[in-house]
Amino acid sequence: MRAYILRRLAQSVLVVWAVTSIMFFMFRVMPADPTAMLLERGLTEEARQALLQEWGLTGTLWDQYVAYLGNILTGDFGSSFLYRKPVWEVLTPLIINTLWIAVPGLLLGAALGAVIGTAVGWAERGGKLERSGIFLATVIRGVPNFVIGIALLTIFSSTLSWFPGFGMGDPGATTGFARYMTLDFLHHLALPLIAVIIYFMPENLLLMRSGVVENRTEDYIELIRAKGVPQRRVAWHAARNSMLPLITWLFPALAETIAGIVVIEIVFSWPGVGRELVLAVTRQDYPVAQAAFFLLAVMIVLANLAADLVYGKLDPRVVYK
Amino acid sequence: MNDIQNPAASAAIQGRSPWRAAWDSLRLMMQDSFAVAGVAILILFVVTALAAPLLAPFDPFKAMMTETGRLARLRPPSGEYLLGTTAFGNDVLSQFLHGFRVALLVGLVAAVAVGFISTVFGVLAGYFGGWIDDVLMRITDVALSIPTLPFSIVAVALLGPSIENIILVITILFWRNGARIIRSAVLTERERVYVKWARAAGASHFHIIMRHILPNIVRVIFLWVTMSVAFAILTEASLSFLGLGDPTVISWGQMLNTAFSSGNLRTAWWWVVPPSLALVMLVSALYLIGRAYEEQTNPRLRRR
Amino acid sequence: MAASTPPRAGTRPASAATLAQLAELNQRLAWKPAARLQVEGLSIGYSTLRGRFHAVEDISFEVPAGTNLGLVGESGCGKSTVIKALMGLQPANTSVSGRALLDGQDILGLDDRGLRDIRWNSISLITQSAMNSLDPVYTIGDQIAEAIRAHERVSRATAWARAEEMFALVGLPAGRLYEFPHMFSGGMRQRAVIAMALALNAGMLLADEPTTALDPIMQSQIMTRIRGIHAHMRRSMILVTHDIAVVAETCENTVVMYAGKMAESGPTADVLERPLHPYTMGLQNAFPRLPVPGAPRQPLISIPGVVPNLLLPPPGCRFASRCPFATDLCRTTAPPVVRHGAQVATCHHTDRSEEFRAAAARPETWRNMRGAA
Repeated sequence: MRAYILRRLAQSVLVVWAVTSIMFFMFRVMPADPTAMLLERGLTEEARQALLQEWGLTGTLWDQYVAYLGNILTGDFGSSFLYRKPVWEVLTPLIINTLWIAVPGLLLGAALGAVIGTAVGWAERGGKLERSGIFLATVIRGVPNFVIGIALLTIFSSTLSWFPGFGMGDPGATTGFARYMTLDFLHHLALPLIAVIIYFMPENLLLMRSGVVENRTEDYIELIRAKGVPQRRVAWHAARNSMLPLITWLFPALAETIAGIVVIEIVFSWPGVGRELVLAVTRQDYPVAQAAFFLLAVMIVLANLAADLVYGKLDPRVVYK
Repeated sequence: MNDIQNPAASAAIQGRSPWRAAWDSLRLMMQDSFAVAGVAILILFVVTALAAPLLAPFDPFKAMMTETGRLARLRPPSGEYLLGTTAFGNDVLSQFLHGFRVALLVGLVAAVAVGFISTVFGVLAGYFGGWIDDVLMRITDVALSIPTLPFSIVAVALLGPSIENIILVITILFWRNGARIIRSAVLTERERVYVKWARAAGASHFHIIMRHILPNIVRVIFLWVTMSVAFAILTEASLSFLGLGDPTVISWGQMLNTAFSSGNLRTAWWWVVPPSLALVMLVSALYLIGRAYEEQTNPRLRRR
Repeated sequence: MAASTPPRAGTRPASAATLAQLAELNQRLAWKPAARLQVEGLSIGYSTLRGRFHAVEDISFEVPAGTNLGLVGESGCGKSTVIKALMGLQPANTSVSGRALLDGQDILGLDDRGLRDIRWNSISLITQSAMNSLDPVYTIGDQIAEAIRAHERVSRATAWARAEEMFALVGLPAGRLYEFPHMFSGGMRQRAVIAMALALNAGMLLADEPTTALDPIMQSQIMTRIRGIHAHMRRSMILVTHDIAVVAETCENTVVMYAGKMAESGPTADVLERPLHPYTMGLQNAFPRLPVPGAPRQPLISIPGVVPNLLLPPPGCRFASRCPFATDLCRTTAPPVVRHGAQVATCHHTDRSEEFRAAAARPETWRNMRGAA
């Protein structure tokens, strides 16, 4: 078990390395010169060279690459062109903000999808519940996440004024870690969180439904029915077995979903990593963009690792080697 | 073996035409009433896209002026502007109609590019195995950990926001899942008895791929192409919504971006609702079709 | 291992409260009498895309309390369908008619609530393929305890203690209750399924080909076990099998089914020694018998042909196309049910059975038949 986790971790490190390298070369082939915006501010040539040195933009591409990897290993992403402070300082609070909507959103979306999906999968084949469930889930799955955001924003924020639609707290609200403990924060959290749930749920629902439909005709379900346990309990067995393929399917889906949170952060002006990525890209603040991209990739790798381990917990047949 | 003379056996070795198989699969898909609804919507959208320049009353970029020479900003729908105007005085209906063209262009090109590349790589890797397979699996391992939208954001920003670059990025992103899925479908087909028979009877690799492998994975390819079109349209819309769209064309995502960033979401419903609704209808239609293929490819989901 | 280190079972002493509850439960269950089952005119029909058909038509038999009944026939003759209908497990688009009186109560057409009450309480099931009939993600112990706790208000510990006793009964160590189905061999899984079927001491056991998936040595072990349990617990049982030798050793009464209809039924000794129906005679030939010293070795003779398509059943006797003794009457008119003492057969020519039996023992009889067809 420990050996398995270590090997998976090593694999994850390898993947992260590959992603980082892709990122490095992507940013190096960009047409724009990162110092161009600073040159306009009338920097002397020496000052410009010094800055290039500081950002690791001197020397051959290979030297730059080695220096860059070394920096990442030591957790140094350089400093932001715009904020003029280390990238870590810019991004650390944003990571927590992103996790606040991503983790509960994905978990609740998956749980809700699983419950409703089981009900739809257990319903009579070709019946009203099955057909309407599939139809609604497919249509909701087709709603782009920014449209979900816009709809929630227009209805519950602009029109009904039930929830704030902007940022993480009212002006003058508590700052620092204490802010996460306030009602005001939860009030702001509500809409983006709901958006993530609606965005993530339908796919889970449909997968769960397929799994339950596949499992309900299995021999072991028949024996459980024969034992005279309540219907609900029989459905639970089918659902419990359907979770296994669901988790393998979630694996690629997670990458899409974590990425999709970028858009939701933009719509609700939620100060997270994804929003910062978009802002940094438009402001040509490449160190921040690089680091934000790196962070999102690491989140996906970690989510995959977690999915793998959860699978082992759920399926007794899995042997970690 | 004597069996080769047997007509059934020789038919099994002949295999099926892939076109015939594709047609059969389409017919089977059309038995699903949800998929029929999806196809109907798709046809409606294609026709609208083709006819958009004829239907659009104005140039989508032209600013509308009132008689007094002022910008016709945020006009609600009226006889003159059927869907009202934007905050910059553009006719919403004209922009909306041109949006059909962008969405379908992106979808179509992505479908062809992704469908073709995924199929070629998936079939080569699955059928021949060896180093092609190894390379493909390693690439997809890494590629599956690349966050798609952030990658598109960075790549499009670096390459420059144009519709060609957006399509390029979408193709780079989505061929990998398709190749992987098609590869595993080919792997199962390759092990079937009739393929071994055909090999034993001296059929060429090309013959086996075209007449035995392809006809049997055609549903998987259709499923994946349908999904790719939906993903491509969604990705283009998301990028445009984030302000990374091609500034020389008008897409639904861009319309929503303009409405959102100019702060007119609540007031100008006529500006927001049409592109949102069109996106939802188009993508849902594709998913409804995709679902029908999913039921086809998975025999355990069929009704008994 | 993922979920490795299963807690050591059996070594954990049960608490006094558990033991008291277990004693009380055991006493309550031991009191259950063996059940009597009378099936009258049971017909089971499916509607499929290609039309309606009857998988089972007009089956009647009785299982007196405390006896075993063998239900024999080729695969696809409707044996398992009968078992499923008795458990109320038929698929949704199935029509079931006739009556099945379990101690006088008709168990066909019970509602969900009624079905739940009788299942496992009064009638339990030993399934056909123990390979796939256990939930892969639960321990065997959990699955037995689930059955107990669905019907008896006892604690989890008590249910597990009862499961341990059932495991001992089928010869499995209690510690293996904590294991998952994939860790069991086929024979052990089959025994676990039997232990599960005994958990509530139901008056009627339905054993649906309990040994089909096993190798011959394991088959005979399991059958010995089942006979031992039967002798010990005196339950009633329907044993579905295609192995006529097993029926001979185990069952007081036998029903032979062919293509959804009853071919012959009666006391096992009569049916096997003096079969009235040519199908029963053919079935006997198809099974190997140990050579009797001095007597010539009996060749294996299989019945040529296939079971008719039930979507388009033939007008006359369903066995006519494969019967070496069939006459024109057999091909056109459905045969009557003829009673000979305790024995019943559905055949036009039961009066000639003596002559048939002599002919049926000769391989040529069946071989010529093949030429004719």
